[in-house]
Amino acid sequence: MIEREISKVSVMKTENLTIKFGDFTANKDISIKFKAGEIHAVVGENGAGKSTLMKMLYGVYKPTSGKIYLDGCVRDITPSLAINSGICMVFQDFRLIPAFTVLENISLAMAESKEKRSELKKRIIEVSNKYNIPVDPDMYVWEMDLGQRQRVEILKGLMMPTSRMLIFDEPTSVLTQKEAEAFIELLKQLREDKYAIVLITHKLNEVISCADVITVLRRGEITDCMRKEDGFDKKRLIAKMMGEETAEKEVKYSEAHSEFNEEKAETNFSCENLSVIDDYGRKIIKNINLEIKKGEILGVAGISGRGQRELLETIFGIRKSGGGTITLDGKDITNASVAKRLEAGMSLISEDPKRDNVAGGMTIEEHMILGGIEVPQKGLGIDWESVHKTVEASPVVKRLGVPELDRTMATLSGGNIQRAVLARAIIKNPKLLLASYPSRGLDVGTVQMVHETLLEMRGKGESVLLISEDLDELFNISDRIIVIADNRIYGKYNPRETDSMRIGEIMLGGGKNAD
Amino acid sequence: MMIETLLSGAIGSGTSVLYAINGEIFSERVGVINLGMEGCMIVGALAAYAGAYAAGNPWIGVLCAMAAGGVIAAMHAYLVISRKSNQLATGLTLMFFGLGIAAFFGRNYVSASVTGFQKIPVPLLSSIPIIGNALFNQDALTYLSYFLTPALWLLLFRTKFGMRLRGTGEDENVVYAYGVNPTVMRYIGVIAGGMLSAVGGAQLSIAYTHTWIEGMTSGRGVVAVALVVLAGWSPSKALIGAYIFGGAQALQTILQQQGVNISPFLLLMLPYVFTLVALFVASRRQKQSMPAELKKVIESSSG
Repeated sequence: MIEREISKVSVMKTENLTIKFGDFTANKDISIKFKAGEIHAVVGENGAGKSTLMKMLYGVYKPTSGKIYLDGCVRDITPSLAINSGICMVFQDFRLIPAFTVLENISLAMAESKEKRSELKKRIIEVSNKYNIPVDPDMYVWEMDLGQRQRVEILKGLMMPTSRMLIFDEPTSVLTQKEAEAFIELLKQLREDKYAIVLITHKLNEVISCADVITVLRRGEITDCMRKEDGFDKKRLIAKMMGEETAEKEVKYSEAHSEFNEEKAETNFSCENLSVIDDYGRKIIKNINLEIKKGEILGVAGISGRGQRELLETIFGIRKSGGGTITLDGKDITNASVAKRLEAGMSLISEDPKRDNVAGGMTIEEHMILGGIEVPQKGLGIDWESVHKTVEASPVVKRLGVPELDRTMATLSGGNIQRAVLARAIIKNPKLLLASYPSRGLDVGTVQMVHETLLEMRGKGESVLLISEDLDELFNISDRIIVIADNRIYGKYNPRETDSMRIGEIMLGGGKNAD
Repeated sequence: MMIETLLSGAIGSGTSVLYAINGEIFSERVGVINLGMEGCMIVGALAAYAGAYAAGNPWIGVLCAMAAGGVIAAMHAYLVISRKSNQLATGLTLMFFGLGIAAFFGRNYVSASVTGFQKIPVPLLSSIPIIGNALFNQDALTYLSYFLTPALWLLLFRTKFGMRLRGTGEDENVVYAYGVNPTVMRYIGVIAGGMLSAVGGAQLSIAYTHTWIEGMTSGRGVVAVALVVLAGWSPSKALIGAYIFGGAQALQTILQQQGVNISPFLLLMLPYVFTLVALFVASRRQKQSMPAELKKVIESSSG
């Protein structure tokens, strides 16, 4: 009797959920309730165990102990039971097949449905109109940017006939500010339609603006749970997420920026009429004329997939340019090889270090001498002892918390790979650091370290070209900002004299909204 | 007259390759490269011959071929799917295994004669000038292949089952999340592919040549694997590759019969040269359509 009453309110409930991987306890004693018509945010740093928890709720992982209740009954959750019970997970790495159209992807997901293609297509359009999620059913997923892919993923969940609980794993990390705002509106609309919504994120501002309940995870355990009625306290949230001490430290962004003087600073890098070509041979950015001064952090804003990656690869020399010249510290390096550019003082952190920057079977230490520090010789071989000492002694390595140097890259998590790659790029004191999303996949504490490190480089007269999708990050640490839109570059803008709304408009509207 | 002979020869000789290409497409669409198609074809050719000889009915021969080709493909499937062995190495080994075992069991059939499939001219259609004889005066297995290609395309691209097969070849984690068992899908794709190739072998032995000769597939199964790329992993384009190969084969025969003064060894190379040229021409634009799971196979083999 009591159980039936619970089922009216909570779609899903866990009791003392614990999961261990070997000796490592990823989640401990998690008791949490998800109700219909409620947005429940689960926040925590990277590695706090949020994703693991969600995967248990969805049946991907089996808990070591503890119970999961579905509508008040203890159930042994599997992914197919979850789907049939109307629980839908929007994964961070979208579960879509790029070679399929939207229609095919959705049809694949609807295992039980007997709908014909044309009926399904009609329903896709209906649902997408209802929730204002614009999607073309016949478009191939590989043609879409990340924001569009996410919309397909959400649509897929809403199309399920029984769908009533949606779990979002870091949904706004791939969205622009405008898209993120629209997404929050969508969440509110879904809440009104009595969906139970679970939102995993580390963006506190978003959470505070829309959540009804916030549960904080730290090191696999619940450290706090707040309800909207009681008011959310951001300071307390941060403290509970990161531990009391870390939260105290805050980067003093405004102080760090007082010194940059664009007029006086010497030019470090420049390019003239540079054109950037994408994988299909199209000019994705045309006629770039750009200067980066010594001691300047130049932020690059833009919707993802507008040529950010191609731009960095062209400057770094691993992509053929479509014409134009490149100069670094007074030397023309337009036709220089990658090796020459590395020697001249360039460093690259790719947007996907695991794909582009590391060789899985090699250790961190071995990576350090691949385009990192200079290789000390010992006879005919490498003086590994000296490498080890240099790397160990480096303040960057210490500050970023790079794991043990003899571990191979293949054994590291995404965040740790990011740490190692960052350390390698910075340890050689580059003249120009080309950094794509340097803080992607790192927790709040480490992101601060990264920002401090970048600001310190700047203090030494080194330059950084920083690509980020997080406008706050760009505004906090960039000296100037440029925007990629409409196949060209807008700016420079001084972040102290403009605001994120304005930059956002240029990102979306390009020329119309620029000066 | 010569064009007619050429076309007729192109279709007669290309049909076996067409079956094999379609077979390999099935296999690769679920994410498994089967270099052992040659083995499936040759055991298919022999099993068809032996079956038709024993039963006196060529259709029994086709069933025997499918069973034999299915067994070779099932060995491949078990090794690479369940035992995770290297796909390329396993396929190559099975190719030679198939060739060897067919040679062994086939030694008694070299001089045997069977009632195979006869040419059945389609009334009216077969009397269309130039193409009529080539297209509509063929054996039953060739006619079947005309229907099979669109049927396979429909199956792969217009049915739910086909979508699951293709999905498995694109990303097994995705289909798994929707309650599809990728292992089962892979077994189905690989074994069905082997069976199709074996029918190609049967066409060669009991419809096209009516003989059994050791090693009679002469690399058709291997060429089929290459031509899958040309076909962009789609049955609708498999025809092109198959008939290019068949046409070159027919041209080579015609040139020899005309007594052209070129070494027969060079002439025998002609179909393979044509295939290479076709691959060269097509190589630029094929990346997009390659099933994503195959990329993993290639990466893990070279790393």
